[in-house]
Amino acid sequence: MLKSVSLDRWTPVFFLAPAIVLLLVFRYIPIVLGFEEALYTNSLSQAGARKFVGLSNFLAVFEDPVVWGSFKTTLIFSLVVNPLQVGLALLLAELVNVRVPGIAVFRAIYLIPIAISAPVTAIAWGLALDPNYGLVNGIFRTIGLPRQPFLQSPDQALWSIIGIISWIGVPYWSLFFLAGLQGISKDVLESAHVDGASNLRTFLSIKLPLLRRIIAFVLVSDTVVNFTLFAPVYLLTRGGPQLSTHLVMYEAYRRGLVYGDIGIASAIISVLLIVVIVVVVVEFIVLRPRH
Amino acid sequence: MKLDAATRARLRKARRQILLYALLIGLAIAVILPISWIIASSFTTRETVWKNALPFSWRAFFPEEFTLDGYRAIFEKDFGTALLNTFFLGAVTVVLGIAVGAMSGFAFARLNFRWKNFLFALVVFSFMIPGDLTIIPSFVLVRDLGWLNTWHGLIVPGLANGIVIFLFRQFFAEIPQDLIDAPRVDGATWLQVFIRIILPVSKPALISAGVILFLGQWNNFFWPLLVAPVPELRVVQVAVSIIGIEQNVNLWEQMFASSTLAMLVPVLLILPFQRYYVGGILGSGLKG
Amino acid sequence: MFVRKFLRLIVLALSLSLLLAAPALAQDTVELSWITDLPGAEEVAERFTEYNPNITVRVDKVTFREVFQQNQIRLGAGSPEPDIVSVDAPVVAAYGFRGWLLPLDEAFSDEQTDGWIDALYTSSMYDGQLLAPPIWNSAQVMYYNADLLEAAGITPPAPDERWTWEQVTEAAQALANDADGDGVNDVWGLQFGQYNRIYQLQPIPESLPTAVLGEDALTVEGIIDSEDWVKAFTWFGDLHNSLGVSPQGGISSGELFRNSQLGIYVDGGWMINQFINNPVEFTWGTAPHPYWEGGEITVPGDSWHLGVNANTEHPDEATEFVKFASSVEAGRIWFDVWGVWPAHEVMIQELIDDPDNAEWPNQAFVVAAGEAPYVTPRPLTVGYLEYEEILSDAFEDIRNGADVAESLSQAAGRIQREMDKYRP
Repeated sequence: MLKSVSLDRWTPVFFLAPAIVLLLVFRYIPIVLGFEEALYTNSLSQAGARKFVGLSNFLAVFEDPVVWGSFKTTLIFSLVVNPLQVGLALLLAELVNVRVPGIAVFRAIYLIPIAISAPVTAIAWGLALDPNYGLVNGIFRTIGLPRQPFLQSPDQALWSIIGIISWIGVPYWSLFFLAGLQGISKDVLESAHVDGASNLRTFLSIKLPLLRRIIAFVLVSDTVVNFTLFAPVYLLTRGGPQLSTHLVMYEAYRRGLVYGDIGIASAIISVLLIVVIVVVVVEFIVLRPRH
Repeated sequence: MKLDAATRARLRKARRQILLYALLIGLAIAVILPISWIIASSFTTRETVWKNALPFSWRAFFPEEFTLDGYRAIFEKDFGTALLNTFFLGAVTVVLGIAVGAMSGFAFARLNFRWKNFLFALVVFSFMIPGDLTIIPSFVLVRDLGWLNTWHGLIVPGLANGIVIFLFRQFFAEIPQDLIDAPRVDGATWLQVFIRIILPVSKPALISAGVILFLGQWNNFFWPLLVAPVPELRVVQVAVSIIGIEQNVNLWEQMFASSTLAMLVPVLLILPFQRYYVGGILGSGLKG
Repeated sequence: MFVRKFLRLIVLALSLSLLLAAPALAQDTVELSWITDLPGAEEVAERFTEYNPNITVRVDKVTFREVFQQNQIRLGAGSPEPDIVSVDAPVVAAYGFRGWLLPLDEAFSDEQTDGWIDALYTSSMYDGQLLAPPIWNSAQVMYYNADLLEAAGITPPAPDERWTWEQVTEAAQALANDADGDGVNDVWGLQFGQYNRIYQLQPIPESLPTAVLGEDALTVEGIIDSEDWVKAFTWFGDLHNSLGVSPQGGISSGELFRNSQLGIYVDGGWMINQFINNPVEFTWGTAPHPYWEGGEITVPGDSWHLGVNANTEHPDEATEFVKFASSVEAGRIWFDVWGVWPAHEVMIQELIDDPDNAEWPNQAFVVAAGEAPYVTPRPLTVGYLEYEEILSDAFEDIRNGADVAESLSQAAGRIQREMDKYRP
């Protein structure tokens, strides 16, 4: 390497300082403060004073069946929604990764949900899924299917939420896969074709392995997003029916902002944070590129 | 009659094309239906907005009585201010956020220094922790800084974005070494290299980062409500949430008009950049 | 060039944000902040500033649900803002318990507090101190679509005729029909304005009569899962399920009523102005709030109160504003803006005596005013926030057809666990 490329010691500091300082102050300090808050209680003390309670907020998290249940629901939800979204996003990317007239228009249309905020999405889908008046039941009726309760049923509500968030999530993540698919060199694919491999074979044995790093990235990001899902539950189901959509973030919100118990809410969030980190690390290990 | 092989192949291809388009169109309808109902409802009157929606019929996609009342009303209620505020917030966040992110991405990609891996892990880890999880301590922090009801309370905490830094690092890492070495030999400083050489070839990454940062601000609801509830600093999503609730009735036409604008602006903004957006991620080294 | 332009943008953005961030000019006037969702808040604030030119009140508008959240976060974190705290009546105790509100006993004369309706005075107090004076009251009435009732062969009630729930149920069954046979009622019989909140549903058990809270204000087990409660909410559940006269889902009952798709609808007196100002296409009427045959008459009541943040930097100015906002003069502004119910006895009497209100539709105000003696406040407990939220879960589940006894007993268990934390 040329000598002139060497560094004086302040150059990296100059380039890095703004980002690192901002991250430390606005991302990491709040995390530490949150863990600290979990050791106090403010809801049960007079005159707004905080009282140190050690780990009792954490104990309460594990003892309370509702909190505990919300962790269980969230885990089940994640096990379904993450593979589902990643799988569908892959399929969608493969679907639009063709050269046919008008494909650009379709790609543009599929991008639209990405730009729409959670409240607007919830208004639209809340009405579309209404058991009596919803558009979806209207369509079902036209094609001869029985009326469904959707968000009103403990068996269907979580699935309905999964459907709604996938409406945004699948197109979003498919963008990353499309980028990856377009980056695969034509030679590789053509040689597979010459060998007489079917489309399915090509997809499974050539494209998927090449997309491994993107899949890992998307799966991890999607996991994080879905572990902290809040808006659709808050706006559409309030955690019901019968706690079937009672996800951890909603329970934390209830504790902190409705009941006013910031200590317990912080404890729930701290536990969730640890769970997220563990799951993400496991996902990274499983999907680690093998050389 | 027997078809020859070529005809059969052509038929098979045509069938596959039809199937493909049917699928594409079906998905497009699933995307457009809920949105077009909101848009159509924004052009009708409060009295007729539910007329064809309870129960839902295809007539709901066409305004019963076409009117711009909803739009007129929301601009009388300062929805314009909220739009301008959010544009301003978005623009400042995009510009400063790109500056912060690109600089550190450059350092991670092209410079060598101590603790590089540790610091990069810090960046990656930061976007594994959603901001929602720490919103209350963040509020306390910003309050203690005295930043409640200020522009910087809305802007500064979101400037260092882990995904943006990551994206820049991956993009810059693929720029050929020669491009950098030549000017360095000629005595250019690293800052000059960064500005004159690196940034000009990084348009896709800049655009991807810009879209991420802008959408983040545009769709932000809870944080602005928390740190800056004053009317002068009101942002779009907060305005949408309160615009329909006057007088204990739902002013549907206004709710739908404000929702329509809140969703169309970012859509119109993203579409022209779509090609770059994909390119930015493509260039981000995520490919196999 | 692209990069030049980009750099210039950075400089521009930096200088702009610094410029705009410059703190507001030094002021000799005091600015108070107030987080609220109330229509008319700006008008009351402006009138106050006319009298007190050195004090301005900044109204931070948010939605109903966010009023609670924003208060929780700010007051819980000990912030000096908002100076003026919007407190829903049953939450006075919860905020008082946490020490978030300044006692106001000294600022209010007996004359002033005697003017309020008794129930509201009670809910302004916590631990023997006046914490949050009432600015309004509320009264629920029964609205009906006379055209639909007559079509179903039912004579609508007279303005002073109080139906029993039994009568309402019968009427609702006659009203509900699915003429086009699509499996969804074209007309529904009955729905409540706030169909999943204790505020609206409290009279259903309370009118039986039965208690809604233990005497120590911290017990719900054995109360909200009692036989009487199960009976009351079995009826409520049946309306939505076996009888099929009330719609499930989240469609606004006001909208269904306005659309002639709902025959009977129980909601606040604040809707009267809506129907007068934005006329509907059918003959509507109001009647007093229903009750159980042989039971007691109770009507949901109480409303917003205002308190002063214990950490405010302007306690005197904020107290001054709360005094004004809870006065008769402000009560008239509230009423003029959107017909919200007054907290003062004299204003109730004015409504009843007003000759303009002798004729329909303004007569509806008299119907609602006549409910004042029956208004029952919501349960007064430090655990009200938990009580309300968890009960709403149960009410939603019951609407959706869950087992009533099981839903209530689960809710009782959940609420009790929260309540026990408040025991000394």
